[in-house]
Amino acid sequence: MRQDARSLLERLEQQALAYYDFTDRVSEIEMWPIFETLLRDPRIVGTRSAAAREVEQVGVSVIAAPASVPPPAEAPASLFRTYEQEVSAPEPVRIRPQEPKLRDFITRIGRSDDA
Amino acid sequence: MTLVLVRSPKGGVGTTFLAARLSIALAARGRDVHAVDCTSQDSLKLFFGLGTRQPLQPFGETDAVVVASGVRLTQGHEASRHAGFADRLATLLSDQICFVDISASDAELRDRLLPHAALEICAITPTPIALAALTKVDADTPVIELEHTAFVLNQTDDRRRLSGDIHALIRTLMGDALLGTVRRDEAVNEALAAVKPLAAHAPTSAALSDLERLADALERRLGLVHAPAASAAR
Repeated sequence: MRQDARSLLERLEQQALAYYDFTDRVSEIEMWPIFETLLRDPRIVGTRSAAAREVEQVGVSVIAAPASVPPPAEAPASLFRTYEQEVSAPEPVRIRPQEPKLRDFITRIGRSDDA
Repeated sequence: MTLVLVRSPKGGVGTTFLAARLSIALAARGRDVHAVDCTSQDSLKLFFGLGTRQPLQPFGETDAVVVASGVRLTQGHEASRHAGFADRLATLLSDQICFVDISASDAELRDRLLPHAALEICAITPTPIALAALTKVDADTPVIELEHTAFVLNQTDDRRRLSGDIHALIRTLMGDALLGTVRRDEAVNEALAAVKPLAAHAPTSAALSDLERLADALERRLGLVHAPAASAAR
């Protein structure tokens, strides 16, 4: 427990309570298979969405912070446009297995999420 | 009339709860609000502290309309079967904000009313089945392209792993289309069992504070208030 939370609870004589700090869940998100299933579904993301196309690609995963911070609602498509540009770049930074790519996508969005 | 549809393709996610509580919240802010129960379940009134045997006037009959927590309540299931229901809503409720509670199985009514609505609110819960039901929100338009639909994630519990993960996913996927979240609070069901409004049964309910923020967001989305230059945390 954080020391300031502990001190406050002691002053309030509520030592039976505990303070839990919820960390940024986006960085810890578990890639449940249903997440990937839904993010491939055109009824969710559309057929012309770059996000839907990207999930189908087999290739490298480039770990890089986006140059700009897009609005969260547009984040999937705009980040994937950035990703596609990097895929065509001369040298990828790192090669990862396909399964964690969705985790990277979610993590990158989390870094750019202003909320 | 400002028409707000409240409907989810998944039943049991809190659609009626949200229709009731948002109408109560806006009425408490001085708005002229009417809530129409278009479900055969007839449970909207329960969230206002009314009993199961309390009849509501059929929509369109203006005598002895029940008013609870500042909201006019009518039963619209029968009236909604008729093709001219949307026009009747506009005619009879011209100066009011009208929340229409639509059951999950009634996609036809939703599709019929949507062109007349200022907003559709779609409730989901942080469960795999509710996530899967997102594929059924609209037959023609992908979820992330819906322009008149806002989502509310209801019954969140970030202490639970899957619930927290789904919360993070929805927040990321929906962006501004996520109107807000409401924490899971047993006090909601307790209030129903006590046949009392939530605010009367549990004034310190976590869900109530979430609903206030949700009402703030709804008013901004409907253009009833202007967004502050710098939002302050409550």
